[in-house]
Amino acid sequence: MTLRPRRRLLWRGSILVAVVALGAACVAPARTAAAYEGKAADSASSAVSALRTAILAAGLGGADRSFPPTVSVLLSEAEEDADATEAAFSSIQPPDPVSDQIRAELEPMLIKASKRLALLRIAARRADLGALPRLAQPIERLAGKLERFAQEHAA
Amino acid sequence: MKKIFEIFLGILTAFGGFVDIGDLVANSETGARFGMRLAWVVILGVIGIVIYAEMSGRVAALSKRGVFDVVRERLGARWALVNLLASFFINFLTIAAEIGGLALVIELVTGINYLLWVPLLGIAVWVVLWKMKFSIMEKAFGLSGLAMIVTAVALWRLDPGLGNTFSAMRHFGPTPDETWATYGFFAIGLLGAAMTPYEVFFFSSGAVEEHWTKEDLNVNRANVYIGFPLGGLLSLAIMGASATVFAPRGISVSHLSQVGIPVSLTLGKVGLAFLLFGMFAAIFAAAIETSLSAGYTVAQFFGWQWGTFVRPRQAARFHLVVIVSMLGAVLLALTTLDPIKITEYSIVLAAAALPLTYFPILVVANDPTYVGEKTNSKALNAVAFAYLVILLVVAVATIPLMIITRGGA
Repeated sequence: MTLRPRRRLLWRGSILVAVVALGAACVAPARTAAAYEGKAADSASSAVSALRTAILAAGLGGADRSFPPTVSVLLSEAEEDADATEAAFSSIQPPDPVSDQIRAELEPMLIKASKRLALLRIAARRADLGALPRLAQPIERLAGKLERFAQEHAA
Repeated sequence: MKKIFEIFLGILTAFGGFVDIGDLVANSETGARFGMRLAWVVILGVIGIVIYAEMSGRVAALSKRGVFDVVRERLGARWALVNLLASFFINFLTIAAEIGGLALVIELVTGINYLLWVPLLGIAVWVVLWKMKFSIMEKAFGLSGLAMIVTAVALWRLDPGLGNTFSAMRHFGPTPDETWATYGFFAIGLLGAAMTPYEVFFFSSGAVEEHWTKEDLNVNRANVYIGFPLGGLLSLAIMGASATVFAPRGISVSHLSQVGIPVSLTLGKVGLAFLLFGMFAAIFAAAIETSLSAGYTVAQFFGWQWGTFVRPRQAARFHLVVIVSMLGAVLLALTTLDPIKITEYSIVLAAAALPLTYFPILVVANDPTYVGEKTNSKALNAVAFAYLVILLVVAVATIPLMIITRGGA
């Protein structure tokens, strides 16, 4: 093998690795109803994760067991995760009418999750940590609903 | 007495310095998703790093040369260049991950966005590296990293029950809601985090920096045989705490801030303060180690003068590589790429490149030209060879698993 083809091979290899690494992080489109349902279940699970993290953070803040900036960061990140989940799910094209129903059921819950988390984040940034447990109360019910949804629609 | 104290200090330093951003992220994420079902990978990784770090420390102490220097001479420039390119790229990603991780810790304390801290912390790492003596730097940060022991205390307070923990560790395979591919991908990440290549480059070059001789082989053995496994126990404690708090609630860990939750729940603000201090020290140490490793590998490959034991003017090219690597890493961290994602990719790609790092070490540790009569025993070679086979399988499986699981999503 001469030097030039070897270099070309090295370049192609590097490009392949970069494409694979970037591709691995992308959200693929859902071409079938089953794939769409699977993505809906994953989105619901992600939202549950963000909501339950926020519940823990709110509890820590309310009980004075964590530092205010730490609680604020935790809640901001939970909100960002919920927003990202909602945006990613909304961008997926539902392939059939059954998928439309799934979307109609899940999307409002995801939007509600984002709104609830925003309220927590606002209180934390105002250093009103005492209000967090009260604001977090309705979140557990929402997390429970999303968890049931994820279980019902999991592959 | 002085020798015993030195060994004890070395063990504690190795213990406190074992966990870095990669271990924190990999163990927390895995604990949340798989409970303790991947704890065996941590044990496998710790045994692997113990075996190969001991070899690299022995080669450095007896030949008084860094491992990369010896590899280039023993296996030729071509093999060493492939090794250098792979190691340097992964090491570079790791520097960015460590500096980003440091900034995230400061964000947790101040509430100010981590991006503002990235350049300042890059400068802070460089100043410490430039001004502080190697041995003081290594021990100060390694010992401070011990503060992360609060995680083990938190796990004990969470009381998952020793029997339950061991019983969970015995389960091989994914949880019902996860696939074998994801299980394999996370296993690779854990192995990459435990056996990160920079650890052996830094360990062996550090031995030369501290002028180790044949008399220091016991210090070498104590550091790796006791210090590293203790560090591994800390990794398991992080995994255990995450498994106890997050897994039952369906929480997945995707931020460094979440790592502190189990400690806050059990030990409150005091525990969290210890954890944040320990995390900062351990990640700071790792940022220094990875930055130095960038210089070590390049300088040793090209045969330049290297090390902090000589005046900077005498090792100008070594310092230039360190500075340029750090600057590049700071710029990468400033791109707003999530430091946790950079960490995930760095540990998984590190796993893919592990055979390139460890095969040459096995070769030189068996060559009497470099280690005299202290070559590997047959039993050690058998275990080390078995590890190489495992690492080769891991290297082949990494990219396909990354595609199948969409990066462990």
